[in-house]
Amino acid sequence: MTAAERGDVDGRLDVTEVISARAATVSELTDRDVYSAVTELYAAHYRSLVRLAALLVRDTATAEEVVQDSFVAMHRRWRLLRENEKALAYLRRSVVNRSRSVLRHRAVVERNAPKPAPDMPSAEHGAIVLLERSAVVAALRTLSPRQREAVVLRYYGDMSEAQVAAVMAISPGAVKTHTARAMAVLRSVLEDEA
Amino acid sequence: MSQHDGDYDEMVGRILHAAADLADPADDGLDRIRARLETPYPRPVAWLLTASAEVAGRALSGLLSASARLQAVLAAASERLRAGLGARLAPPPRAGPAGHEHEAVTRLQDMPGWSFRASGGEVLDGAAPLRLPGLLRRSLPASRADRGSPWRGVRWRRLAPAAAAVLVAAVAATPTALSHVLSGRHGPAWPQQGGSAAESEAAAWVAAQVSWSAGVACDPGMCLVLRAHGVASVDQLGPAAAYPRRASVLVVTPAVRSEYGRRVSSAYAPAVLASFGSGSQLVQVRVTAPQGAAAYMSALRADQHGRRGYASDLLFGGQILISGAAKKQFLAGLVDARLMVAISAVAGAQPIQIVDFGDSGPGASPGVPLRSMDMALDDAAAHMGTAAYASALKAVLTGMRQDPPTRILTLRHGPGGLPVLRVEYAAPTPLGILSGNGAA
Repeated sequence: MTAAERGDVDGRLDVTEVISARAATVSELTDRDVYSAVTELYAAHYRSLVRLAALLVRDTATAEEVVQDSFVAMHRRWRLLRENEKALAYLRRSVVNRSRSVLRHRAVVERNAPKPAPDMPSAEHGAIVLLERSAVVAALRTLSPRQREAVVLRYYGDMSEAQVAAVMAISPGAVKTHTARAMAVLRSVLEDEA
Repeated sequence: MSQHDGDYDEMVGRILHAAADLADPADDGLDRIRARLETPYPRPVAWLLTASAEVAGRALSGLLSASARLQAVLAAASERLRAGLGARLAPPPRAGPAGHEHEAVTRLQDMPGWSFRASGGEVLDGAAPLRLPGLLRRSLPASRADRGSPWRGVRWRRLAPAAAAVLVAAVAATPTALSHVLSGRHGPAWPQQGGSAAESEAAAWVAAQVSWSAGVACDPGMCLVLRAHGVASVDQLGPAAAYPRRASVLVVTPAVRSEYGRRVSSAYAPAVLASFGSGSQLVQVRVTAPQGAAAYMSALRADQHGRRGYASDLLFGGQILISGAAKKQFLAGLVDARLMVAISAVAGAQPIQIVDFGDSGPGASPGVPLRSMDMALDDAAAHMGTAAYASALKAVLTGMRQDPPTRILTLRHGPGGLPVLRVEYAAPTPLGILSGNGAA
């Protein structure tokens, strides 16, 4: 059906699409519609995941891409995940891993890129300016990737050490170490600010 | 942890939250995710996959022809070997009953059922004295060679053709096995290209009407067309393979008909959701029947019976105004059960006027439920404006916990341009919803 066939109401096309949550008929996923689950998770967690990724990659647009990639990957693995809780854990892990990949790739690009002109803003300009008004957030950049992940997951994600350990695929002891070292750096920044 | 540490923790948490709140994602995230799900591979990757499949196909056909040549060569070599063995096995003039050869003959004669067929078809039995081939005789110590142990000869002669046969079979089987591994197909090749007008129409219909989560079975050519229309959940059929019962929908092209014949309609996929083209170019989109055609038709009849009864109950309250033709369809149980549940939900909140039902698909089988309806948006009984009324209906529909509609459109209906709210559900219709039996 084309837009012309549909016609307009009040001079504009008013189309609302709703993703079905019907019980799948014959497919293997009989209990729930995958797309409905994706929509549900999106509504509940997309924004917070983008913000978490933004703290890691320091760029909102890249953070959005990272989270969208994670949702697509989660959808493809839904047959293994099935439950929202598992799916959310997968999403968090995926966001952290993909953020790490972005940073790794960015480091390589920056290493090999020609020196920019002094008045040329960097690719991250804008978002970072906004995000790094605080010296603490700026200090996040100086941390190692693992330390940054641990701090962001622990203090922005409000996760327990065990949850952080699961997301980062390391031991709770390692989480404790990374967090303590990162907090030592951030504390010194806070003390300097005070 | 000290109080001081706790303060720092809280402060860091607050700062991180404040900083993260500045990152405001765009509102089209879900649309972008959905677009990615509909086109799983970026264009260059899809092109690369297609090209590599073609290259692999050519490589396989080359391998097959090389294998055929090798088989011919090996068969000829095997024949020569067996002919040579036959000549060696020809009975030499008997030297008399004395000596080792006599002992060997005696032992072989004692073995029950021993016989050997030479290449010429002559049956050699244990009475025939056996000799080792010259090469082997020379490689053995003189005493043993002179003894002329018949067991060695028998083993070698019996194993040689068998080994040659195994070798030939392995060579012949290798490309086939490779073909299985690489393409997942069995038997003769299926058409690798689709794209007739009917196939394109069918693909467009599937993309628009069939649920994203429903597996769509198709032949390789049709699968390409479907993928080009954004249908991701295709389930490619293999020739002579077991029918894929996981799929919810089967696209029946001429290739599928020639492969499965009448079984398509009589056993696998009894009901037509939509059909396109005609004659030999006919393409049908059929709903599959995992439990068999008879079970499906029986479930469909039971479902229709349940829908008929529920329709009468729904109309009893007076909240639903329905036109003549639509009322007949409704009371006959021809409307999708999910749509009936949606009608029940909106009628519980607002008085509604159903203009018509539709979307059964062109050429659908009788009894296939109607999956869409148009509700008038100018309903005097609602006592509110068109926009407010539309919003109220949408709110109810989108808030449905079970089976919310696949699509809700506001559009103008018919020549008069009556504003209507179209509510659609994706195909195929699940059966047993009203009876609580679940999918059939």
